[in-house]
Amino acid sequence: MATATRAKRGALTHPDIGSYSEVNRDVLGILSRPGKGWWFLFVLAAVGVGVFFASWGWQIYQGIGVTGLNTPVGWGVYITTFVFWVGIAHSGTLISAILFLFRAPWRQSVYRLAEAMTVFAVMTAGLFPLIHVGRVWHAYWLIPYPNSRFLWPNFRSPLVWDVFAVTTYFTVSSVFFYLGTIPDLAAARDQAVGLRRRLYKVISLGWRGTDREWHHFSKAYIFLAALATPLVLSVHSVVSWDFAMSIVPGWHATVFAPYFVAGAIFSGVAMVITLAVPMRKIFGLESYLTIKHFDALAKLCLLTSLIVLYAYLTEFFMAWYSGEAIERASFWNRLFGHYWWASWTMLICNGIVPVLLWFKRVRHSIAALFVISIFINIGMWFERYVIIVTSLSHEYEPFAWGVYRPSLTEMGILLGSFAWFGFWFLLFTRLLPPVAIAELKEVLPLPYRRAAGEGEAR
Amino acid sequence: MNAQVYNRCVGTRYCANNCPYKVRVFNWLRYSDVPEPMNWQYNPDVTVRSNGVMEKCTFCVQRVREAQNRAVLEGREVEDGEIQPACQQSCPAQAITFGNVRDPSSRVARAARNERAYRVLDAVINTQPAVSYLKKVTFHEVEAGEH
Repeated sequence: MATATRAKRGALTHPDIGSYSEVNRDVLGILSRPGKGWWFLFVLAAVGVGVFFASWGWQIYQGIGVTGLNTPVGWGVYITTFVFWVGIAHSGTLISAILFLFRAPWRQSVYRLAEAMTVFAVMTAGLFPLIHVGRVWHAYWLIPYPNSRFLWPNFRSPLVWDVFAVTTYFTVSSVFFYLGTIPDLAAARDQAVGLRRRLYKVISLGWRGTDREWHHFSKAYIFLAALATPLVLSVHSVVSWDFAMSIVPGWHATVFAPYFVAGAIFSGVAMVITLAVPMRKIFGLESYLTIKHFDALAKLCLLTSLIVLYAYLTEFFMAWYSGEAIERASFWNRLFGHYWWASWTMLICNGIVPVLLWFKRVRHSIAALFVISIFINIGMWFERYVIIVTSLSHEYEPFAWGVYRPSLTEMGILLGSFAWFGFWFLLFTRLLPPVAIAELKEVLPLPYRRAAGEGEAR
Repeated sequence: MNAQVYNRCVGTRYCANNCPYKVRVFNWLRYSDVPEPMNWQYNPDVTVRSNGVMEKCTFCVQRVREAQNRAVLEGREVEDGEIQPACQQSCPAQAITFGNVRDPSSRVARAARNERAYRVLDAVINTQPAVSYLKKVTFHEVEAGEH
């Protein structure tokens, strides 16, 4: 009975995959044959990483003055990009942990990709607070540890909470990611030769696929999924408190935590689509990442887009309803002030463009989904830019209003961060099985020797 | 008074974002790195702030501490007007008064009780600032007030 429903599920999501050996061949094949497309992207990413570290080095040598930041706008592109990448990191755990606990069958094709994206996005995001601070060589002072200088961070500061939230999230999501890959690493080990074989041998921790090992593995996986689930909600709530706990008009709002969590999942799912479309093309994974998967991702995007749009409208409504002149001025400035174009980009990309996802024809068109996902990525970056920069540029005292323009160094670091993320992601597609082999096999029909004509009985 | 410990500042600039008066100033570059003999212009009583730290007016805390210490040594209270921050000392119009607001007879407390005195943003976000400004009285407003 259970086998029959599983086979049916597999047939629904993967009509073209016939057997276990086909999965091994297709997925492990990716690891051994980098095409021209892969090399092109890899060189591009490596150059970008060079730009990234050159810009950062220049800034450390000169000081934060090489950015466009100045009073009153003390936070700009760096914090915007930090929040952007933390947001991207969210859908990974959502897809791998929450959808696992809810037994959503479509997750097994995309979850490895989403988890890898999570780990690399947190790795990217984690650099930005370091890039942002004035004295990066003292940034470790934010970590509480006993020391001879009697330094202790101020636990009333949301920035310290942020340090904990992000490091916890990074630890748990990396462990979860690694644990999930172990059976697949063993499968890769069994096919690899030479140096790769030795590498997989070590990192697959001697996995042999016995019943006992599977028993422990699935228990550990469930526990970690349960542990990771609250983190999906907590991390971005804490990031949002960096803003909500302050007294800056436009930041100080109770809606921020749920608003940021929804926005994070929204941007993360869009990024999964952005990454899955070229991967599917380059590695020929059409029968693994099917229209059904994209349809499910698009629906998740649509849902979170509606929540985000609702939050935007709530913010504007509350600014008006509060009757506070300063709050009202801040939001008026957001829509019609110096940064009007950023706000309207945000509203159009995140609120209006995703409306197209209501149509099944759009959800079933890979090209359309790819374009929409790019719009969402841009819109979500601008959302953070709007919240951070427009609010700071227009606070209480008119004499302290000001305008911020990002400098070339900041642009280099922003673009370089995408290269840094891409660099790790490209290495991942070559070193780890980018589709979960073992879980995919769970939904395929069981292989067994059959006499002719017996196949239909099962 | 509100100040930072410069040698502990990492430079997140969060305090500057949260300052509603925007009086905090960040050391964006290495301003203190000047060739000899320019370095002699710096006040020897004050830490020279390095690149990447936040600073703001400390009400010349070094002068306050010096006067307090002297008073303790001489076994007396700090007298009204004994402490002058540099801005007060050099103000040609004598527009600045500094002192103990808690002592009702001090010059600064009397000025703060003046009906022209107001505290910026106090009524808006309850910041309870220590600085009071004396409002300029214009003919127009006096007329309006008498109605």
